[in-house]
Amino acid sequence: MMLRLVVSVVILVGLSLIQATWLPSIAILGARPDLGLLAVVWLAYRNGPVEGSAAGFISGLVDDAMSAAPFGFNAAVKTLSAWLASFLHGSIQLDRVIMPVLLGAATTLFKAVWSTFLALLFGNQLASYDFGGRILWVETAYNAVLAPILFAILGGIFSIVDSKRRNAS
Amino acid sequence: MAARQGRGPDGPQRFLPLFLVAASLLSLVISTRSLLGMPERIGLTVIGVFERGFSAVGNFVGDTALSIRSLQRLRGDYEALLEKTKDMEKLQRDFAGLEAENDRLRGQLGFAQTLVLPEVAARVIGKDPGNLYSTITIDKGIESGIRKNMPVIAWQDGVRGLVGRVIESGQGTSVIVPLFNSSSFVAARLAKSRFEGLLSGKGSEDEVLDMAYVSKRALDDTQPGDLVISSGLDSLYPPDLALGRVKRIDQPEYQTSLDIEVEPILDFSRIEYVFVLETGDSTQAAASAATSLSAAGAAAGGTP
Repeated sequence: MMLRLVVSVVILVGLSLIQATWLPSIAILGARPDLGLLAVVWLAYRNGPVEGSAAGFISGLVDDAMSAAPFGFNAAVKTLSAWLASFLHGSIQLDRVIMPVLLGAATTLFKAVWSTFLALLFGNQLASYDFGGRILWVETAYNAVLAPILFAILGGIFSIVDSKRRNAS
Repeated sequence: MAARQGRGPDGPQRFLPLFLVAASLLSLVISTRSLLGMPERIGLTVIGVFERGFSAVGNFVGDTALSIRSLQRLRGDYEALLEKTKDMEKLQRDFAGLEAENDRLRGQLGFAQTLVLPEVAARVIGKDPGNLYSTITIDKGIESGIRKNMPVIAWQDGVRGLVGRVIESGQGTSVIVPLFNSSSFVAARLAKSRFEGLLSGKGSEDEVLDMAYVSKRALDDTQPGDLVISSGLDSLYPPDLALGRVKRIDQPEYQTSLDIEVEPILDFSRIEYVFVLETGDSTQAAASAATSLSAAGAAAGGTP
C-alpha cells in the first residue's frame, strides 16, 4: 500500500505541475482539462476509499499552494470527489472508453456542483462555475475525452508497480 | 480491467476519508477568514521549486523546437528593425528636446518630478492549475524583494500596461492576481476626459473589463478607443499605468453612472515577462485601497 501511495503522490504532484506550467498552452476556449482530478478519481476507483481520499487530499493541497483559491478549497473538492468515486471500487467494471468518458464528465460536473455549494457556504471568497458559461462545458468535454487516455496510462503504470511488489514479496 | 471484490477498509481506517474531508473544510474555514497565510506561503515555496523546474523543461523543449523557425523569422525582423531604428533615432532626438522642455515647464509650474519606482524583472512560469481561478506564477519571490500587494506591469507592443498585483510570495516564486480576475479592482481614469471610475475583471482573460461609477457627464467626452489609465487613488497602483481602451459605453437609465466595457491593453495570454514595482509599504497600501474602494462602492450605492 505504501509503495502505491508514494507512486500516486508522485504522479499527482507531477500532474499538478504540468497543469500549471504546460497545459495553459493547450487550453481550448480558455478551459484546461483537470488531469489531477481525473487521476484522483481513477486512483480512488482502483485502490479504494483510504488511498483514494488520501491521494485526493494531497493533490488538492498541492493545487491550493499554486492557486489563488483559499487554502483547502481544492483539497475539499478532490477529497470528496475521490471518496465518492471510491464507492465504484469493486462494484463496476471499467471498460476502455465508455465508462472513463462518463466518469470524466460526471466527475467534472460533480466538482462544479460541490464548488458551488462551497461558495454558498463560505461566501464570495470562493469562486464557482457558471453553469451557463462555456468554461464548465468545455472542461467537461475535455476531461471526458482525455479520461480514457489518462486511465490507460495510469493502468499501465500501476500494473508495473503491482508486478514489482509481487516479485519483491 | 476486471472488477474487484468490493471490501471496505476495516477499523479506524474507515474514517480516514471523512477525516480528510473535514480537515480540508477546516483549512478552508481558517484560510477564508485570513487567520493563516502560512500554509500558502510554505506550500508556494516548496512547490515553487518544482514548478520552476517543470517550466524550465517545458521552455527548453519548446524553445529548441521553435528555434529553427525563429532564426528565419529573426532575419526578417532584423531588416525591419534596422528601418525602425532610423525612425527611432529621429524620434529620440525630438523626444529628448520635448523632455527637456517638459522638465523646464514642470519646474516653472512647481510640479514634482514623476516618481520612478524600482522594478524587478521576472519570467512567467505558470498559471493557476484550475479553471476557476486565474493567477500567474512568476520566478521571483521574497529573496528578490517581492512582497504581497506589489503592482505588476508588463510591456507589450511598446505599451506599458498593468498586469495585476502580487497576492502571495514564496522564497523563489510569487503568485499574481491579474487585472481580469473577478476579485480585482483598480481605481481608473479616462485619460482624455479625466473622469474617474472603478475597473474590475470578469474572471476570464478573453473577456472585457468593466468600468463602473463613471459620471454620466463623461458621455459627451468619451468615445470607443479612448485610453483608460490607473488614477492612483487606491494607493495600491501608481497613476498613469495603461489599463485598456474603451470598447462600448452603456448608459442605463436606472443608474446614475455609465457602464463602460474596456478592452485590456495587454493580451494576457502572450505575457512572458513582467516587472514588479517595488512600492513602499504594500500591505498598508492594500489596507487603504480596500478602505477607499469600499467607501467608493458605498458612496455609489454598490458593492465593489
